[in-house]
Amino acid sequence: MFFTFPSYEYVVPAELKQPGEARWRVLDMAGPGFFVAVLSFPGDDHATMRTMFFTWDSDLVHMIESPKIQAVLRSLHYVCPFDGQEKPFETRAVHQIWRGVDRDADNCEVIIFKTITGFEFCGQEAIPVPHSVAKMSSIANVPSKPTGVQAGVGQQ
Amino acid sequence: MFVTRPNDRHHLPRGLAEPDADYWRSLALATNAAWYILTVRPPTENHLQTTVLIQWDVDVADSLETFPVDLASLLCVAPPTYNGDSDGWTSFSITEVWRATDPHEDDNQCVVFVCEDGREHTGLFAEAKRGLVKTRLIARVNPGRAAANDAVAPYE
Repeated sequence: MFFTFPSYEYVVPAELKQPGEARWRVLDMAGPGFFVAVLSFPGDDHATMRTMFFTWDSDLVHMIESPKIQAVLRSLHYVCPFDGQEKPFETRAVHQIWRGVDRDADNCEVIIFKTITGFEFCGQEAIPVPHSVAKMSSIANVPSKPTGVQAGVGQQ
Repeated sequence: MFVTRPNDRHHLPRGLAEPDADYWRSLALATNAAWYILTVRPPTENHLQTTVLIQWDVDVADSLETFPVDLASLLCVAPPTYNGDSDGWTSFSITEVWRATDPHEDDNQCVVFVCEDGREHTGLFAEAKRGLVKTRLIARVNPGRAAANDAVAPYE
């Protein structure tokens, strides 16, 4: 999850923002990682893309599935910052999102993310999908387009 | 800038929250400009690592100058292009941060990020640029024990 302190705010005149909205130059982060989603919405022109950050996978899925919002997912990444000890920095490009159930946990719902390379993970901590989880239905396919990949940098 | 709205708020019990802090489960980006993920190694075993998201390059430079720290990882996340080739963000790990001047822009002062392959990036969109005159080293990333940047993946 993200957190802010008053000194982090970028103050803009009230006329330039929506009621209740706040703008920040800096965010602190707590927790293992977060999702970065590029979305477009009805009424946007083709070139308009909006970027949103989500701490929880369930919030992301609600955004995608909401019939009122009608968001179209154009790219999705899970970002897991360096833990300062042993686990290196990591980003994962997501290609598919699935809804599943965990048969060892009273069939509770599990959101499964599948990367372009086929790796599957779930939860905010991005753990490998347990064997007790069964995929049930597709939530979204994320289009995979070529990007400006930097030379000399590995891919997940 | 990072933008939060009332619905993005995560309510924590007062006893668990930092004084004056606001907690957020989601947020949006106001501009498609480059942003940065900075991780500072904890000074002692009794401290937690600190990871912050910073919108502007000058804030990255100013904060590193103001608070000399053991910089474990610094990632630049550059915006998607608008030519239809890419919908996703591209990330690259930074090894050095410099103050510099740009001879092509009336010797304007700027911040230069040197990435692992030696390329230098600057400006609102973290574009690769040559011919910048580096004047002062601000910080060098110290991946330390974990080779922090080995596994950094670009957004696909």
